[in-house]
Amino acid sequence: MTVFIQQVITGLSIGSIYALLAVGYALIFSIYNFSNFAFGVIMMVGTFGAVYAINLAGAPLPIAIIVGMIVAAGISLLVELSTYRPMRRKNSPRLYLMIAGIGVNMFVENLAIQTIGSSVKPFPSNWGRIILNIGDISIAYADILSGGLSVVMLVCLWLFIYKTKIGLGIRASAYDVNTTGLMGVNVDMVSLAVFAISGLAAGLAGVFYGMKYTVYPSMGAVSNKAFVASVIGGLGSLPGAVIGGLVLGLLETMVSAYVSSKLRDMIAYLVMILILVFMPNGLLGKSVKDKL
Amino acid sequence: MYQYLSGILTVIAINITAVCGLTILTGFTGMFSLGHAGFMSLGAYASVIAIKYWGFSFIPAMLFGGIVAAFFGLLVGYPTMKGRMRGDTFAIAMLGFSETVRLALSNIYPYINGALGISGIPKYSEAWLVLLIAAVCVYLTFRYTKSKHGRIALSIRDEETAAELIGVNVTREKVKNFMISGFFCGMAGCMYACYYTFITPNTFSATTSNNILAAVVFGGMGSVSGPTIAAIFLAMLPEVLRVVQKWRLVLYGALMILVMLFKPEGLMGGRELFSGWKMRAKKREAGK
Amino acid sequence: MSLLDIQNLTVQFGGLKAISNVNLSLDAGQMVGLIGPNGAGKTTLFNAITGVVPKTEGAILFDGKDLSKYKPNQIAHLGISRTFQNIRLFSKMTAEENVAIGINSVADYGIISAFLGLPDARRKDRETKKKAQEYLERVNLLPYKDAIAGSLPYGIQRKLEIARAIATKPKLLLLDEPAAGMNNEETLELIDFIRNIHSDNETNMAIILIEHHLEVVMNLCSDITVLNLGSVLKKGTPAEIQSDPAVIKAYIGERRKSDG
Repeated sequence: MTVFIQQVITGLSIGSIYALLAVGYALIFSIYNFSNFAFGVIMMVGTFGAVYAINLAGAPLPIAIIVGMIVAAGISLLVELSTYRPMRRKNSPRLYLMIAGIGVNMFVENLAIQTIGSSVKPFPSNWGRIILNIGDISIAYADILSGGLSVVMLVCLWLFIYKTKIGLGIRASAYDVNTTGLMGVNVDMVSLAVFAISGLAAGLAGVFYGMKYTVYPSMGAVSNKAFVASVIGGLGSLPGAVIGGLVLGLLETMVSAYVSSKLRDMIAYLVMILILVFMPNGLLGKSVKDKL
Repeated sequence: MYQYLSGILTVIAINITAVCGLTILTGFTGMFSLGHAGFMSLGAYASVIAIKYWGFSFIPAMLFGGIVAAFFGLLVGYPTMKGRMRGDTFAIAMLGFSETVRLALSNIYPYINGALGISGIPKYSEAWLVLLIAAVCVYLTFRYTKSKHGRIALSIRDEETAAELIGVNVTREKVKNFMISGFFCGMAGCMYACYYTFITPNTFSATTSNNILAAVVFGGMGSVSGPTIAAIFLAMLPEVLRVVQKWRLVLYGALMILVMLFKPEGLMGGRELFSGWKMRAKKREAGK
Repeated sequence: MSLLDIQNLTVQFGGLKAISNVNLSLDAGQMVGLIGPNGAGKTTLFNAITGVVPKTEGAILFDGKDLSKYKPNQIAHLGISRTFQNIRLFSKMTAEENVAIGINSVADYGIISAFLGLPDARRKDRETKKKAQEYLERVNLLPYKDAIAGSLPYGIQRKLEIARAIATKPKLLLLDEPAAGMNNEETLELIDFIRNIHSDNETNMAIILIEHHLEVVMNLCSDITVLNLGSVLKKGTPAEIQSDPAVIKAYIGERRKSDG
C-alpha cells in the first residue's frame, strides 16, 4: 500500500510539471489556435538560466528559480515578437507558424548543444534532492516544491485570467481574436501577456524538472508531454490542461512501476492516440469546428 | 576521390528518395509530419531482414521495405485520418509513431538484435544505382502530382472542407498519400542500410525527420523539383562546407525561420523548375 | 415527388437550437430563396443538408434518400453542390484546376497509371482539362483559366466558386450569399449570371439561394422561405414576403444597418 502511495506521489509530482507545461502550451493554443513548437526550447533556456544564476552568480535557489522563469518568459516574448507576430500580421497559415516554431526549436536546441555540449548535467543545487521521510514514504523536497509552487502558480494564473482586465482580454481573445481586436482590446498587449505567462510556466516547470532529474539541451522534448496532456484534458481548455498533466503523470508512473518502465515514454503517445480516437474532445475540451 | 564523390552522391540519392515521400504528404496533401524517420526505420529493418534471412537481392528487398512501411502507414493512417486529426496533433502523433517504432525495435532481440542493431549489411547501394532509383522516384512523384490524384491532394491541402463537399473522399485520399509517403521513405531506409552497412533503432531519429521536412519546406510546398533541389543541396552541405558540419542543424533551424518569415513558398514557390518556360511558350503561342 | 424534402428538422448544438422544426421542400428546377436576419440558421440549414452538421431531429430527403445516412462527399455525389459565405476556392490552384476538381473529385484512373503517366491517364487529363475550359467559357471566365484562384478579383472569385460548384452537374445547388460584398453593378451582373446557369444546365438544376441583398432574391426566386431564430417565419412569393408585417419587423433592425 505504501508503495502505491509512493507511486501516487511520484506521479503527482511529475504530473504537476506536466500540468504547468500543459497550461503554458494551452494558453497559446486556445487563443491563437496553433501549437507553439518552440515551447520546448523556451523551457530549456529558462532552466539553464536558473542553472547559470546559481553557478555564475552564486544566487540562492529561490532567486535562481525566479531568474529561470524570467529568462524563459523573455525568450518566449522574443520568439513571439520576432517570428510569430510578424507572420500573423501577414496572415500566414497556421502550418507556417508551426514550421517556424520547429525552426526555432532546431536552432536554439542545436545552438545549445554546440556551445554547452549535449551531455546531461545535474542541477546545481542539492536542496531538491533532500528526502523527507514520512513513515515508509519518502518525498523529495523538489516534489513538495514543485507540487506547492505549481498550485500557487496556477492559482495566480487563474486570478490573473479571471480577475484582471488583461485577463478578460485574454479570455475574449480565446473566443475570437479578430473580433476582440475590433472591439478595442489591445491585442498586442494580450499577445505579450500570453507569451510571457506561457514562458513563466515553462521556466518554472523546467527548473522543477531539472531539480528532480537532470538538465540538458535536448530537455525541451519533455514539452511534447505538455502537448499530450493538453489533448487528454481537452484541447483549448486550461483546467483540462492541468487535469491532463496530472493524469498523464500518474499514468506514466503507474505503468512504469506496475507494467514496464520501458513503456513509460510510449504511454504518453499511446494514451493520446486513444483519447483522440475515442474521446476527441478530451476530458474537458470544447470542439473547435471549422466555422462554415 | 571517387570514393568521396560516390559517397556524397549516395547520400544525395537517399535524401531525394525520402523527400519524394514527404513531398507528396506535406507539400501536396498538406499533412505535416514530424516522424517520417519511423518509416525509414521500418523499411530499413524489413529490407535487411529480407536480405539477411530470406536471401532477397537489393531491389526486391528495397521494394519489400517500402511495402512494409506502407503497410504500417495503413495501420497508423486509417484511424488517424478517419478521426480528422488536426494538423498539429497529427505532427505530434507522428513523433509518437517514430518513437514507438524506435522503442519497439529496441526491444525485439530475435532476428534484429534489439538496441544493438544489425551490422554486416551488404553494401548494395552503389552510387550509380541509387541515383538511378532516386531519379526514377522523382519522375514518378512528378507524374503523380500532375495527375488527378495529385490535384485532388492539393485541393485537400488548400481547402479540405470544400474539397469534401465537392465529392473528394478526404479520408481515403489522405490515407493513400500517407501510405505512398511511407513507401518512399521505407525504400530510402533500405538504401541507407545498404550503404552504411549498420543500423540501430536509433539511426533514424527526430533529426532525420527534421532534415526531410527541411528539404520540403525550403524547396517549396506544392512542387517536386523544389524539394528535390533542396534535398541535393542539404545533403551536400555538410560535405561541401566542412566547417559548417557541426553547425549544420543550427543553420537549418535559422534557415527554416527565415524561409517561413520571408519566403514561405520556398525556393520554387510551388511551381516546377520548368513551368516558367511553359508559361512563356504558352504566351508565345497565344500571341501568334 | 419533390427533389428535396426537409421534414421537421431540428439541429441543436449543446443548448442552442440553431434550427427548430423547419419544413421546406423543393421540386426539380425550382429556384427558391432563403432569407432571414443574421443568426437565423440559414447557413446551418445548408450545413445540415450537405452533411456537415448532424441533425438532432427530423429528416432530410433528397430524391427520396435519407441524407443522414450519407457522408458529405457522398452527398456531393448524390447531386448536391454548394458555395460558401466566405469563398472557399482552392486558392493556390488555377481557375481551370479548381473547376477540374469539380468535374473529377474522384480520379478516374488508378495510382499506377498516375505514377507512370500512362497514355490512358494523360488522355483523361486532357479531356477533363477541355471540359473545365468549357465550363469556364460558359460563365465567361475563360480568360482567367491560368490565373491562380487566390489572386483573382473578388467578383471573379465568386463566379469561379459557382462555376466549380456547377461543374459537378448537381441536381441541387446551394448558394450561400453569393452577392456578399458586391456593389450594385456587380450584383446586377450576378443576377444575370445566376439566371443563366439556372436556365441552361443539363440536370434541371434546382437552386436554394441565401442572400441578404433582397433585390437578388426577389428578382430570381419563385418562392421564398423566411427564417428567424431557427424557425420558419413565413413562406410565400416575393410579393407576399415583401408586404408581410412580421417579416418586415424581423428585418427592421437589419434593413437599417445594411442600407448604409
